Amino acid sequence: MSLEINFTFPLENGLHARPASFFRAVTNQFKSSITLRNRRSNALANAKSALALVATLTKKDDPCSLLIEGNDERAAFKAVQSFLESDFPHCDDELVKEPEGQHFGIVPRILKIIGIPLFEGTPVSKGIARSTAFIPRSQSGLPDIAQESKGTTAEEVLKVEQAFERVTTQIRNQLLLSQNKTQQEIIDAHLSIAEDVEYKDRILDMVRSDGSSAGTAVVTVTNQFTEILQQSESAYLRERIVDIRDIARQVIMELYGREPTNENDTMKGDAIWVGENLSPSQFIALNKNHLKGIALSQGGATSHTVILARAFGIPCVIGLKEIQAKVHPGQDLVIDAERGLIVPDPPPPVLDFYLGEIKRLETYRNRLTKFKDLPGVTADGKRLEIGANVGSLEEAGAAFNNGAEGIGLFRTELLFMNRTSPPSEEEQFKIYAETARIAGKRGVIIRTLDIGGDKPIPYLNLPGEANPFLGYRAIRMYGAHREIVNTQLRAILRASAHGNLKIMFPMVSSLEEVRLMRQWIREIMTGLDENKIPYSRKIQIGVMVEIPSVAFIIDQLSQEVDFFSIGSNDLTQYFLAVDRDNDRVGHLYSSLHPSFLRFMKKVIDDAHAAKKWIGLCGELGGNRLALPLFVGYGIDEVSLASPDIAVVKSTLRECSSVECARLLKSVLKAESPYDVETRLKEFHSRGTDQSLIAKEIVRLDSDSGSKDEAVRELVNLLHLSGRIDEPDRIEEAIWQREDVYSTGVGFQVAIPHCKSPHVITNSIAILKLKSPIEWKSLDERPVKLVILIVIKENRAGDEHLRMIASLSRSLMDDQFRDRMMSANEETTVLTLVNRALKSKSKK
Amino acid sequence: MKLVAVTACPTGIAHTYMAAAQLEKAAKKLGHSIKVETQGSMGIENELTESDIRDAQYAIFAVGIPVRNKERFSGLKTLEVSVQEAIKNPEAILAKL
Repeated sequence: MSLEINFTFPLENGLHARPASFFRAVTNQFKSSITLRNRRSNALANAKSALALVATLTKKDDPCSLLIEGNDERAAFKAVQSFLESDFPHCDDELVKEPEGQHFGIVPRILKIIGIPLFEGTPVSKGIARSTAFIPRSQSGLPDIAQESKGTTAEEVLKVEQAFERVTTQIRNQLLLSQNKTQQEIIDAHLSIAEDVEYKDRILDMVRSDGSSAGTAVVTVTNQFTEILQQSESAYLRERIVDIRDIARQVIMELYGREPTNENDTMKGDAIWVGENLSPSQFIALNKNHLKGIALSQGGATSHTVILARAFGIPCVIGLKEIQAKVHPGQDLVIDAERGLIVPDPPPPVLDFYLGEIKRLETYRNRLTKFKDLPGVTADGKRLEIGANVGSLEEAGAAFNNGAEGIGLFRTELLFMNRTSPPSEEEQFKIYAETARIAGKRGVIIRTLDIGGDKPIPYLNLPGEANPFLGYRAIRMYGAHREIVNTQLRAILRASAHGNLKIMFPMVSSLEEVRLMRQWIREIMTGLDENKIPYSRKIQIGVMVEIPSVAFIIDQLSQEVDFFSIGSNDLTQYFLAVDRDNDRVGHLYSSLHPSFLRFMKKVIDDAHAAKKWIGLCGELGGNRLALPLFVGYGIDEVSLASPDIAVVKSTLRECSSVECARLLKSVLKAESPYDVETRLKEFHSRGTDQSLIAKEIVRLDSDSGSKDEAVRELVNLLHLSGRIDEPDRIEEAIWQREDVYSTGVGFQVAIPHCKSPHVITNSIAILKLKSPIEWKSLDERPVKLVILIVIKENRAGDEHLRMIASLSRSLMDDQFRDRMMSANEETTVLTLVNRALKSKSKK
Repeated sequence: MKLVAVTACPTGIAHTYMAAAQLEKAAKKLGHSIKVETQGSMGIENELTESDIRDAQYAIFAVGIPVRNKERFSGLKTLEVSVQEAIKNPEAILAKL
C-alpha cells in the first residue's frame, strides 16, 4: 500500500502554473490520492490541484517526492513516473526568457536636446502611438465585499458552488469563441485555476467551518495563495498573482451580481492603458480598436498580457517603475515601443518627430500592403506560390488577410497540447472545415500529428528517450495510437468536402510508412462511404521531406504521393548532424550550407522529374536573401510566417528568373555558408537603385525649422526609399561628424555627411528650406540648401566617391549654387546635380 | 608665385575637395599658379611630385588630420590652416604669403 517516487525538480523557472497544470492533467486521471512533498521546504501539496502545487514554491533542483495511495496506485505510479521522465522536463520549453529590464533603445536626439522628462522601459511589442492615458482605479486589490449581505451557511455554500459553476462555464465559452491561439492558451490557464480542486475546497471549508460569507471566504483564500506566491523569488510566479485575482474577481462578481461598475474602469474611446498590470481577462474584454498602447510598471515578457499584445499588434512597454503614479489620467502621451519610451505631454518639436515616426511606420506598412494580395510572381512573370505556416484557425484567417496564397503547413500539434485528452473528431472537424471554408479555392495542407519526446502530451504516455529526435516520434508512433490518428484523418476527410484540403505526413523515411497510411485512409473512406458522409475522394496526399534518406527514393515515393514539402529546419539538422540548440555546435547549423543547397536541388529536380508538386515550409522560406534561390530552383511554393508575406512578394517582383538561375548556379559553387551569404547579399544589393540621387530623396519645400528637424527629415527620406536601415544610428553618425565642426560651408549651403555600416546604398539627399535655418556655418549665414551625403563604410566604391568629390567642388562655384538655389523642380535639381557629379575638375 | 597645397579633412569625402577648389579659385584670381593634392577617402590624388615641390615657393596645408608623406616638404616654407579657413577665406590665406 502506497508507492513513492523521488525526483529532483528539473525546471528552470520552478513549479509554476504551466507545469503544474500538466502535472495535474496526469494525476487527475487516477482515483488514488497523490501528494507532493518538497523535501527542502517540507511543503505538502495535493498533486491534483494546480494551485496547491504552485503554492509549494518548488524551485529547480529541489528534492521532491510523490506519495501515491489508492486502488489504482500502480497505474498511477507508472503514469506519473513516465511523465516525470519524458514529458515533464520539456513542458517549459516555450517560455520566453525574461528580459534584463535594461533599456536597449537609443533616445532620439530631439528628445535629448529638449530635455523633457520621459520614462524608459523595455519594449515588448513594437509600434508607436499617441493617445491619452487611461489609468484604471481598481488595479491590484480585490473588491471590497465587507458590506455585502450574508445568508445561512447552506445558502453561502450554494452561492459558492453556483458562482464557480457560472465562472467556469463562462470561461469555457470564451475558449470556444476565441479564435486567437494565444488568447486560448491563456483562457485555458484561467480555466485550470477556476476548476482547481484545492481552491474551491478551501473556500467551502471556510464557509462551513468559520461561518464566513462566500465573498469573505473567496477573498481570504485568494489572499492566502497570493501571499505565498508573493514570496517567491521567481518573477514569473509573482506575475501569476494577477491571473488568480482575475478569477477571484470574476467569482465575486457572480456572487453579488454585477459590481457597481467603477466609471473609471471603463475605457471610453482611444487610449493608452497605463497601470501596474493589465490582466488577460481585462485585455480580452477591451475593444482592441480603442486600445492604442499598453504601458505597465510590472510584467515580465512571460506575462500573458504581453503575449496577447504581440498577437494583436498593440505597442507595449513594460518595466516602467510606478508609471501609474507618474502619469495622470487623460494626459497626452506618446508610447514608443520601438525604443521602449513613454513621453508625457510631448512639446511641439517632439510631437512633430513622433508624428513623423508614426507616418514613417505607416508608410512602410502601407507600401507593403499593396503587394500582399498580388500573386507571387517574378519581374519576368515566373510564378512562385507564397503560402503561410499556421497553427490554428485564427492564424489561418490572419494569414489570408496578409496575402497567403495557400496554407503550406497547418501544424496540428497545438490542437493536441495543453489538454488532458485528445481533441474529438467533431472538434477537429470544425476547425479544419472552417479553415477550408475561409480558404476558398486556396489549398490548405494539414500535417498530421507531429509529436515526440520534446513536446509533452500526457495522455499519449510517450516513453522517455535518450535521443528523441532520432526516436519514437511523428509517423513512427502512429501504429501505437491508431485511434487518435484515425480520428484526425476522419476529421480531415470529412472537412475536405468543404474546400481544398490536403493531408501531409511528417517524418516519413520509407515507402512502407506511406503505403500503410494510404491503407488506413482507404479504410476510413470506405467507412465514410457506408455512412454516406461526403468527402473529397481526390484529396491529395503528401509527405514532408525532413529525413535525408527520402531524397534518394523520391521516384518510388512519387508512386504513392501527390506532393512533397521540404521541412528545411529538421532536414538541415539531420543532414548536417547538428543540434541547433546546442550552444557548442549551433553555429554549424546553416540551411545555406553549399552541401545542403546542392542536396535541395537534387530533391526538387527529382520531384519535378516525377511530375510532382514540391514546396518548402521551413524557416528558410522566410529568408529574404534566399528567395532568389527558390526561383532558381523552380520550386513550386514557399510557405512562411504570414506577416512576412508582403515583403517577400515585393522582393520577388524585383527579381528576374534569369538572374535567379544564374545566382543559383554561382551559389552551388560556393565553398562555405559565408561564401553563399556574401553572394546572396551582393545579388540583393545589385537589385536596388544604385544611383546616388533620385527624385524621391529630393524635397524642395521643406518646413523644417531647425538643424535637428532638417537632418531628421533627410534621414527619413533615405529610410523610406530603402537606402539606409537603422535611421537612429545614421542620425547619430551624422551628428558625430557635425560635432567635429559644422558642415555649413557658407553661401547658405550645408553638407552634413557620414560613413556608416547602416548605409545600404551610397546616397545624396537634398532639402531646400522654405525659411533658412541656423547651422553655425562658416560664414555665419543661415542655411537654405542642405545636401546630406551618406556612404557605406566598407567598399564604398571609388566611383561614387569621385562623383561626390566633383559635386563638392561644384558647390564652390557661384553659378552652380545660384542655379541650385533658384531651381524649384526636383527634375531641375537632379539634372544639375547629375551634371556636377560627372564633371571633371577644371585645370 | 608657384604654390603647392595639400587638403585633407576627417571624413575625406567633401570638405577636402571644396578646400581644394577654393584654393585653386583664389590662386587663379590672385595670379598665382597652384597644384593641390587631395588626401581623401579615395586615397592620394593629384600627387605632388619631387619636381612640383622643388619648383614651388610655398606649401599650404589645409588640413584637419595629419598630412601623409610630409617629409617631401622638408626644405619648403609651409603654412598650415584649417580646412574651414580654406573654404571660407582662401584669398586671405594666399595674401599672407
